[in-house]
Amino acid sequence: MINLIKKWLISLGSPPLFFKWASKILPWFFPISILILLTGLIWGIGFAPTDYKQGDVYRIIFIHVPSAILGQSIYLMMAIFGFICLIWRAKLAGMFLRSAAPIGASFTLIALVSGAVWGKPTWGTWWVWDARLTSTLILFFLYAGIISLYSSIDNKQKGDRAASLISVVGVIIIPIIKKSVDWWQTLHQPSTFTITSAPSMTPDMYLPLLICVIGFYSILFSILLNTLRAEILIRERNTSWVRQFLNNQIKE
Amino acid sequence: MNEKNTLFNWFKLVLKRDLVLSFKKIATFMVPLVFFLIVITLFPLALGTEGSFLSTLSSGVIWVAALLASLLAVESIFNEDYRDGTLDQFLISGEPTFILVLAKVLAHWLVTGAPLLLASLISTFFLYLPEGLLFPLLISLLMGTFLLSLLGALGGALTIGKTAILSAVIVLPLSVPILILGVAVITSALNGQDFFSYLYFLGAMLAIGIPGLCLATTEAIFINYD
Amino acid sequence: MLKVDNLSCQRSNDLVFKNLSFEVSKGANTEIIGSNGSGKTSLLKCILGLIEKNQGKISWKQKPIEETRTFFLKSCFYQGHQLALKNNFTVVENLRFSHSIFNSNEEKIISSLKEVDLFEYRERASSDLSMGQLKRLAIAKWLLDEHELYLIDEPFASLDQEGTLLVSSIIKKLNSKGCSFLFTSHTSSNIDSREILLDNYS
Repeated sequence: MINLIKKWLISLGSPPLFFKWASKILPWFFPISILILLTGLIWGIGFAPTDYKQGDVYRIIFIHVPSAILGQSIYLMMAIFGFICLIWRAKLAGMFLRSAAPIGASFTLIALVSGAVWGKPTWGTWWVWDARLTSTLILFFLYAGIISLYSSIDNKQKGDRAASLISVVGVIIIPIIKKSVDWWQTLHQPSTFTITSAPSMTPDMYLPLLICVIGFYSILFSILLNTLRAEILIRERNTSWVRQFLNNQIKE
Repeated sequence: MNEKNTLFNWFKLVLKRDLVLSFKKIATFMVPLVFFLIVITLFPLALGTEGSFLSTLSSGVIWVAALLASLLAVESIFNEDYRDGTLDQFLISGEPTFILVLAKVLAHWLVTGAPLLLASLISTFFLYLPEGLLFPLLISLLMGTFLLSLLGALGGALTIGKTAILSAVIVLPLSVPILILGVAVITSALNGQDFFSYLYFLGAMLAIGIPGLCLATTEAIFINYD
Repeated sequence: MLKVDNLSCQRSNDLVFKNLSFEVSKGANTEIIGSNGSGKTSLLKCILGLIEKNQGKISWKQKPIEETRTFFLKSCFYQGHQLALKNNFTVVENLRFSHSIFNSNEEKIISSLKEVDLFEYRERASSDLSMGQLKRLAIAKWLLDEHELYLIDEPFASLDQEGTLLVSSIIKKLNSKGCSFLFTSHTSSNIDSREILLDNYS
C-alpha cells in the first residue's frame, strides 16, 4: 500500500506523467466543477432566503467568502510546494508555484473588490481599515511581490526557487502580520465601524455557501491543472515527449 | 578553539571590509540619511505645519521614513559585490556563507540603521514629537532598523543584479509587523500604557529573525548562483 | 590532481558543454581555448561549484569534489572575468581585503606589488588606475599566497606586450613552486601548456 502511494507520488512529480494524468482528468473534471459552482451560485443568489438585516446585498457573500478562502489557501499551498521545491528541487513544485501565484492574486483581488462592493451599502464606504481587510490587502501585496520576483528572473528554475523561498518566509511571517494587524486595530481604531458579524445563517444559507466554496475549489483545481499543463509544455519543449505529443496533436 | 577563532576572524574580516568600504564611499551612508530627512521634510510640506497635527503624526512619519530609507539602501549589501566579482570570491573562499551574511547585515545596519537613529533625533524637532516619547521612539527604531536590515538583506539577495525597488516591493509587505509594533511602542507610551510588552515582541522577532532570515538569505544567494 | 570526467553543464535549456574530460597535474598548465560563448567561464565556475553541473564527475586528489569542497576551495585561487577590485579602495587596501589574505602580511603585499610594478601606486585609489594596471593589480593577488591550483579567466585579455610577458613569467615562477594553472583564452598563448579546445559541445 505504502509502495503504491509512493509510486503514485513519484509519478505525479514527473512532468510527462503528470501531464498525461492531468489531460485525462480535465475533460470530465472541468464540466463537473462548472456544474458545482453554478449550482452553488444559482442556489445562493436565486433561491436562498433574504437576510432580514441586510436584505439582498448579503448575497455577495457567495462570491466574497469563497474567494477570500481561496486567496489564503492558495498562498498556503504555494508555501508547501515552495518548501518541496527548495528541499527536493522538484521541478513540478516550482511550476505549481508559478501557475498558482497569479490565480491566488486574482482571487484575493476578487475578495477585496467584492468586499468593497459589499461594504458600500452596508457601512457606507468602499473601504474600512478593518483588521481582516488590511491583512487581505497585505496578502495581495505579497502575491504581487512574488509575481514580480519570478517574472524578473530569466532563468526559470532560479525564478521558481526564489519565489519558493519568499513564499516560505512569507507563510512564517503571515501569522505575525495578522497578530500585529489585530494589535494595530485595537490601538488605532476607536470603533467607528465594526464589521457586522456575518449574517447569522440558517442551513438554507450556508449550504449554498458551502457548495460555492467547493465549486470555487474545484474551479481552482481545473485552472491549475490547465495552466500547469501549459507550463509543462513550455518548459519541456525541447524534450522528445513534448515533440511527439505536439506532432500527434497536429495530425489529429 | 582554532575553528571558532577562524570563524570569528572571517566575520571580523567581512565586517571590517564593508565598514572601511562605506567610509571610503561616503554615499553609502549619506544617501539613506539624506533620503530619510527629505522624506521627513515632505510631510509638513504636504500636510501643513500646524504643530499639534504634526506632533500626532510624528512617530508614524519617522517610522515610515526609516522603513523606506533602510529598505531602499540594500544595494550596498550584495549587489555591488556581485557586480565586481567580489561575491564570487566570498562564496568560493571555503568559509561559511552564513557568517558572511551575518557580518554583512551588521555592517549594513551600522552604516544605514545607526545613522538613521541620529537623524530621527533631529527629525523629532521638525515634527514636534510629544515630550517623553524620545526613548520609546529610539529604542523601537534601534530594534526595528536591525530587523529591517535583516529583511533588506533577504530582499537584496533575492534580487541580486536587479534594482533595489524590486527588492523593496518584495520585502515591504513582510515588514508590516515591524512597522506596526514599532509604532505601537510609541503609541502605547503616549497613552501611558506599558510599552515594554511590544518591545519584548520586537525582541522575540529579532531572536528568531537573526538566525532565520540569515539562513533564508544564505539560501537566496545560492539560488542566484547555481 | 584535478580530474574532470565526462562533465556536462546546462544553463536554462541550452547545453553549454558536454562530456568534457581532462586532468590537471601538479605544476602543469592547462589552457582552455574557445570562442566567446563557448562556455569557458562556465567551465571554471562549474569546477568551483558556482554553477551546478548536470552530469559527470570532478575529483580533487582522487576524492570526489563534493566531499572535499572546503579543502579544495582553500587550495585554489579563482580570478573571474570581473577582477573583484573595489574602485574606492587604494591599491594596498585592495590587496589587504582580498579574501584570501589570512596568511598574508604587509611584506608580502609590498613584494607582490613590486613584482607587478605597482609599488609607486600603492596609496592611489584604484579608480585612478588604467585597465592594464588594474589587471596587474589583480595579478598581484596571485602572489599573496601560494595556491595549488589557479583558475584564471582570460589572464591575457587587455594586457599589452609587457604585461603579457609579466603574466607568463609569473606563471612560470609559480609553476616552479608546484602550482598548476587552469586558464582560459580565445587564442593559443605562448605558455607551455596542454591545450583543450572547447567548441560546439566537445
